[in-house]
Amino acid sequence: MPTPLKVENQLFEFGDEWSIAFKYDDTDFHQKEATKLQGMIDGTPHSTKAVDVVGLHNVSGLLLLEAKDFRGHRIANKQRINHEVSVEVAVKARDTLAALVGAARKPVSEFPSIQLATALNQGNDVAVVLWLEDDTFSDERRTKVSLGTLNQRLKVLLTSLNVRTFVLSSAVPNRINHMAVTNLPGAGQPNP
Amino acid sequence: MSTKAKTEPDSAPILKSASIKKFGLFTDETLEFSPGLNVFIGRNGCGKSHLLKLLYTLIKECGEVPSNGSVLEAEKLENRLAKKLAGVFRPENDRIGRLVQRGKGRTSAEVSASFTNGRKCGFKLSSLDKISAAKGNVGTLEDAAFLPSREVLALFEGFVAAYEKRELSFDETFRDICLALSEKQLRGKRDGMLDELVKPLEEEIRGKVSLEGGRFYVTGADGSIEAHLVSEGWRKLAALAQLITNGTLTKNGFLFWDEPEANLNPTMVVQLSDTLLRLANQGIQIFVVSHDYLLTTRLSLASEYPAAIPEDQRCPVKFFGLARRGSDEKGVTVSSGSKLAELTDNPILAEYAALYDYEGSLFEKTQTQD
Repeated sequence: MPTPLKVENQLFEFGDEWSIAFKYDDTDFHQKEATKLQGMIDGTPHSTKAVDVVGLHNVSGLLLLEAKDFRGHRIANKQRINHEVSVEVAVKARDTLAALVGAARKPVSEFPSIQLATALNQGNDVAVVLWLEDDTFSDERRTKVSLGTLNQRLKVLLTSLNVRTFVLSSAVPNRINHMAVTNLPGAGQPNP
Repeated sequence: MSTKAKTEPDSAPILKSASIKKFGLFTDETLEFSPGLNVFIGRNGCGKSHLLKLLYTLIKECGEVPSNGSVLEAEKLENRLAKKLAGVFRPENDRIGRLVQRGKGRTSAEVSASFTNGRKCGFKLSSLDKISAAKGNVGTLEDAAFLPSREVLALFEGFVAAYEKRELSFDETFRDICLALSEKQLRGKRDGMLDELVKPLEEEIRGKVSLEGGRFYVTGADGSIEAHLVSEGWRKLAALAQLITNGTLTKNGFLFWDEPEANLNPTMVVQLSDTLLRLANQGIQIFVVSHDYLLTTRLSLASEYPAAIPEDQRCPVKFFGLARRGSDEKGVTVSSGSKLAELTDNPILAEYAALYDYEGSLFEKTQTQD
């Protein structure tokens, strides 16, 4: 069973059906190698992005999961929720998939890079999930409409990668099998 | 010409509330209206369109008729109401008693409307078609326009004459709106308010609306195009522009619109939403039936963020959610609030949420299939 992962004051726990689950953006490979791809383009800084979690489920395949907890930050993050968050997640998913291909070609031993790259073969499902928390998610139906709209946007952005996308929250039923999410102390509070 | 006199601004009353007992699906409901925009939502068969028609009938017939020698003046209010109910609802053989909620034995419906001047108007209607109107009148009301869900510019040409010969099976709201559309546009240069209301509509339909030889045209950069040759969505907005420019829709007047969003693409729904808010901002009391997520949500946002929307779109908005009672009970229940979220039942939101659930279930299945 993979070790529970702490992301944004939430704990993501994976059952035995998950052979792999790790904090990808904390890996040396991402932080020291993948991020070497950075620099200025037309005066704008660009760098390699990464999702929070990469996992491999025995049946459902590869999961790229990004967690965003905007609780307590609504005003500061309002624009990001409306416009940027789907683009940000899509870019992170794109960069992570590209980096996972490179990791397998090396191969990297820090995580099962070849096993993950094999999961990218044609016919295997790849899921990109945004796990989003926000203060406005009090009414379940309105939350579902918001998350559904965000997912449609994410789906369009990631069309070329041929992945499944979904947007979840603790305010709606969890659709990821054998994975549980719980709030840690301090969740939903503004950072000091 | 309208049979109702134009009055000084602010002097004409608008609808404050309505009490409806045993009429159609309404067993016993009292509705308090917004002076601005009133939005009715609910599943099909909940009585929304009937409610709109009932309110329209009351507004059309309860206003004081001026002493201008019109034929209607001589008729008693109950006769006018009976005739209007028969024309608007088109019950079988004009038997308006069929509008009374069905029950064991003889029953009666009772409808009463209160206006902002404190006066009331209403009627009792028996299942045997006998109608009696409450005494008194509500004073002079401004005009009311009822736009059916089907657009009318395309069928305008020759419609009224054919209707009067009873050659058509349309209800009377179609005749009324055709008559209203046939009113000549106000003379002189448009004032600022009128221009602000009509200009966005004309930009959307890329032309101005005109009535020539009994036929409507949309005249723009590409010349004049017969109204029935432009898209149905454009025709709906064109009809609204005509009602504004010919003075039918005026301060303290009434607009009833059944499913205005029908055949409009989302960008036009946004324009429609803004226009409805502007009209209500100018003092027109509006009653709208809608099934559209975008329209209802935008109107709710206008109510939720009044200080953040353009000043000319600020107006009070009220939502009414109509829902059928349980299978063992008759009639509908009505919940209301200034925001969509305050309604007990919002089937539009429920369906969109269900769509998310459906996609979620499909997403989940991919994790369990070998």
